[in-house]
Amino acid sequence: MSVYLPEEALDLTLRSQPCKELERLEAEIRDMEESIEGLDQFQIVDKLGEGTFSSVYKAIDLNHHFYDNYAWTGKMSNLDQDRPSSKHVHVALKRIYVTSSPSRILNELDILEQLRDAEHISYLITAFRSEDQIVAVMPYSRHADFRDYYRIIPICDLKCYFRCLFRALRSAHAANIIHRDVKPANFLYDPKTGEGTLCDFGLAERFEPSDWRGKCHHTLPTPDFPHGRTEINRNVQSFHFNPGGALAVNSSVGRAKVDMGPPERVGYLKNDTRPGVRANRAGTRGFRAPEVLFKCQDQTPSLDIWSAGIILLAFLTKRFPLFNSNDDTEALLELATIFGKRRMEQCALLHNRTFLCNIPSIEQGGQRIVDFIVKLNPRLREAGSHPDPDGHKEDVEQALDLARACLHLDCTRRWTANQILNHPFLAEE
Amino acid sequence: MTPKKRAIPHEDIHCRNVPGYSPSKRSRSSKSGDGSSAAEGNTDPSTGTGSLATELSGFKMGESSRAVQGVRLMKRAVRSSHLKPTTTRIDKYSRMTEQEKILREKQKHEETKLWRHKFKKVFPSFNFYFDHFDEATAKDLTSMIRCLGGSVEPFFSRSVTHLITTRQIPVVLSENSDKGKESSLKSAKVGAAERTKELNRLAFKSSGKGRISPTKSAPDNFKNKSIPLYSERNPFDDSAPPPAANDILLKAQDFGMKIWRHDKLLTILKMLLDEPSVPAAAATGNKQDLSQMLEREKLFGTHERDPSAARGDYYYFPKNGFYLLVEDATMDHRPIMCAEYEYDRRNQEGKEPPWPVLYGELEGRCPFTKYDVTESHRSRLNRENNHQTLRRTVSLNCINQRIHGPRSPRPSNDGFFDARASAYQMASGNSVSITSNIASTTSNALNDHGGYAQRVPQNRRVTELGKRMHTPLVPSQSARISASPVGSGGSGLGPVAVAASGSGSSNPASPAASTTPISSLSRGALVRRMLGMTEHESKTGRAIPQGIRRSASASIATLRRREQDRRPGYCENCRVKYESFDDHIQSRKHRKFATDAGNFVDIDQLLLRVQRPLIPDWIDFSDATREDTGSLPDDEDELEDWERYENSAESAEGHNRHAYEFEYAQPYQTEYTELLEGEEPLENKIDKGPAGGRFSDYYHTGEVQHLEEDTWHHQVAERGDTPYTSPDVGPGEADAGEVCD
Repeated sequence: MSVYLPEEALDLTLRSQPCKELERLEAEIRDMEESIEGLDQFQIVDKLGEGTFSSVYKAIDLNHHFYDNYAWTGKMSNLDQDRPSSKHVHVALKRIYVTSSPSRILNELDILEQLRDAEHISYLITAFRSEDQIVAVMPYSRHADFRDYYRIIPICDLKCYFRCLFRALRSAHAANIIHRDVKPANFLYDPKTGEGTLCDFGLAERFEPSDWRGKCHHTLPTPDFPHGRTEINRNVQSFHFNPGGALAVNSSVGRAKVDMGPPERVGYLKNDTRPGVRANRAGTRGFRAPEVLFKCQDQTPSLDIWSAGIILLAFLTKRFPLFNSNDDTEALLELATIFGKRRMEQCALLHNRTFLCNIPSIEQGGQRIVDFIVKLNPRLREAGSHPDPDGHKEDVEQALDLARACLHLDCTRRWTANQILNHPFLAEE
Repeated sequence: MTPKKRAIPHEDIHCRNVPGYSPSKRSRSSKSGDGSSAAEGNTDPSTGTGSLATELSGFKMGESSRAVQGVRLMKRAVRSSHLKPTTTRIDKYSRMTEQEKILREKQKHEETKLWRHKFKKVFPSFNFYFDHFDEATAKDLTSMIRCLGGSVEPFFSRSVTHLITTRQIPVVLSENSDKGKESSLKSAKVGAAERTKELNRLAFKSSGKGRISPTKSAPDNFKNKSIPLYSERNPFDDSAPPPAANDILLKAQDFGMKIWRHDKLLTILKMLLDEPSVPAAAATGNKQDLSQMLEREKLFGTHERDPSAARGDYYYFPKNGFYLLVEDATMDHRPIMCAEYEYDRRNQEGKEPPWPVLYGELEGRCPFTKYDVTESHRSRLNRENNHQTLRRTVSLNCINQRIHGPRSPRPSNDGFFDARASAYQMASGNSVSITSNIASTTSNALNDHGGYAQRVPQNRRVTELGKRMHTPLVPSQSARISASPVGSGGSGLGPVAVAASGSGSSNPASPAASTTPISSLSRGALVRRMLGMTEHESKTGRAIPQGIRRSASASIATLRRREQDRRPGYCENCRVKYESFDDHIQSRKHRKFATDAGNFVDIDQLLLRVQRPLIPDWIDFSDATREDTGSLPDDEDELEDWERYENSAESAEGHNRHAYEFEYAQPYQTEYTELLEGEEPLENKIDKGPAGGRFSDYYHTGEVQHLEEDTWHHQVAERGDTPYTSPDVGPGEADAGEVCD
């Protein structure tokens, strides 16, 4: 399968150090080609990435013209199309590691299959198995490294970026699928075409209304309230209901109590035999929504909106990565640094948690997200050489407002993907 | 007649009760039914099982004489059936003991639970179509259906599985269990027409009298006709016209779709959406109270004590310490987060606090990381906003692709994006972390956003190259640690320092071009392919920088690969932690798992579903094209073409073997298989040329066009050679040779 050219053609560059790495890669690819049955339909040309559960390779779809590729190329067939041999069609091969359980793989493929019709979501062309090795084939999407464009991308292009992203999320959420790992690396965007593709549904899960635990003070999503509503849930024990607690019965001073700061002594039981909370926390640090950090057991698709909001925040502040936490505790503190203690306590309350903290860098009031962005990027509103300064100003304000809409700590107040697509920043005339 | 006290016994739902039987039989059946006085005007739900309370809304009636009473009865039945069971049941219920009641409740609850579970499972396969709905209602229902995973068709088509209507549902013969098969499409239509007549008559009657008394003549009219009436029709509501022969409802019935009334759908949706967890939670909430309280008392001690008093079994944060504590207010779980920081502002002057602090001074850097930044650094980074779009029109993009030839695997070597060219040189740069779930599952994972040094400004191409070469060799671990705000000490070091060391290295443009002679002969070919270098380019040496750039992406990946080789992990299948990935997957335990197809039954099923279809009817299609194109190429060219396609054909066959193993159920695949199996070997055919059979026809016609295009191109571009005889190989051919080797 692989090409062997005359040895004298070997270039000098290859006789260098990185050649060893390349050799290793070559060996890896050759090994794959030999060991994985079904791979002979493709010619691997590069490795695109590697994660805990999979590696992704770029490959030529050798038998492209044998297949009906209309669903993902939009072209009927190659018989009346361009010459099949002159134009290679590249695909991405996702090699899911054999240490992943079949159920996990099934989940991903199943979701990909369901979302085949969705726009801006990587299309599952086909998939095959060779013993325990499963390979999923998806279209190769041209894209640039996020780090290479996030600081130079103009506001007008951000619209393209987020239209694609939220359309993808709208489709997924309409199918009750939560992606859980929205981040720049999983959204392949080509700044040249303005096309973006949401990929890697390896952590995606289906939102199951029947699994609703009802331990928080937010309700099961309904069509009218796709992210649920905030409603005090008296069916569950909570020490927020205790006298002096934030939700104490007939106590209008409850809130004030919370605001009064931590109690005299703060501590915890030393040998606590209670079980830990089991909640899905799959995702990437820095992109996890507050409810995930609080280990809420009833997570809704709104957590994807948060992650998308974080991407927008990175664009607007020109900072990436925006957060630099080693664990969830630090991640929560970073959020608290921005949003302030009071709002964190409110958010904790929503999920029946407490947030007790006396770290001095965390202010009581925090800052508005818009102020935070402008503080980090004071020149954001500058029109500079923009041909239409007023239009630019409006765009910036709308983008800031969108960030606010996505980054509500309260998951029930976060906008839905559908609402966001109608937000003035993204709405199309 | 006072039907209000009477309810319809579910148990009597019987296939004999469905319309279409003679009245005599019917009366017998109703007598033997429950023995109650309900013989007259008895309504017989035709729904078979009665497992679904909601099915009741689909009641049908057989005889016109009882139509009106039946309607009334049925209405009540429908209403009451939602509220309570039958009279007999109520009686039984009152006689039941407390225990029995609870048991019954439990059983009922279980049943509904099971029902709900089953329904939810199949719901995503439902495809609804709304008939005669106003937009608002349809929208509401649509969102509810979507919430459950079902879909809604905007237009009526065969893919619809459930038709929801606000109108009366016509009862068609085919629903009769005994006559179902006999009723053809035709008879249904005829029936529909007859029914229409009858209905009009009925409607006329009802509007004339206002109230219809049961008539004896009606059954006679229908005696020999097995066409039932619209029993559930409200005689007072005649606004809805009877269905026309080509009515959508009848069509839906013909198609075998389920037709549900609006209220039925509502009931089902309500059952599916509303109920979960509410009663269960309430029940468990109350029940658990005592045990929970006891449990809590065990944990926290009695409530009768001073809450502010210190407890011995508690750890309290020191007075001057800093902490974060996130607890579960429901007290069911142990604290969720707990962090304690020791930090003395006086003693640790100049040192950064151990908790996250927002610095944020440097563009392009993490705002929670402290950097030592020089003024020049800052000014260089804080550039003016870019207002020019990064997008290029599609056409321009295409032109670019055409010029540079998309066949080269290198993503974009076009100089057209000049100033930022380096930013786009490696399309795969992003994807080093394309699947970085490392951070996803374990937040302590060390490598995430790959290649820290990539954070340097992008506008200096040459140094950039050097950096890309060097940075992967910097252990990402150290970069990670130093970049972390918690890592005490060298917080000034980090990406900046790494980047600086990268750019500081001498002559970064040709970092290793002149060292280490090549050692192995076998290597290189694939590498070159990956580098996107053609033979020609590498000979002239012009591809050197290109090669470096490409190699960078690959080398980052490979380095990570090496890390991964070492990286211990967890195998979900063997449920063991392993030290080395490669060793583990070769282990006996894992191999045993891998070779047991039983572990992959579900996946195989799914794989069957998602297989890419072969070109549909490609044989016929190619024939058609052949006729269209008319002219055929000379033999010589064809032979060339065969050679070119030999490989792809081979691999296609290889695929086919593979496919056969899976036993594809899809017709296209099967067809393909049969073709290959039934006819002579592919090689023979290829030798024979175009006359060899259908398979070759396919290639053949595909090629005709291809060649035509090519020659046309040649003609226009350079020469006036006659088509098909040109010995030159077009650009397409060269590619094919390269790839298909």
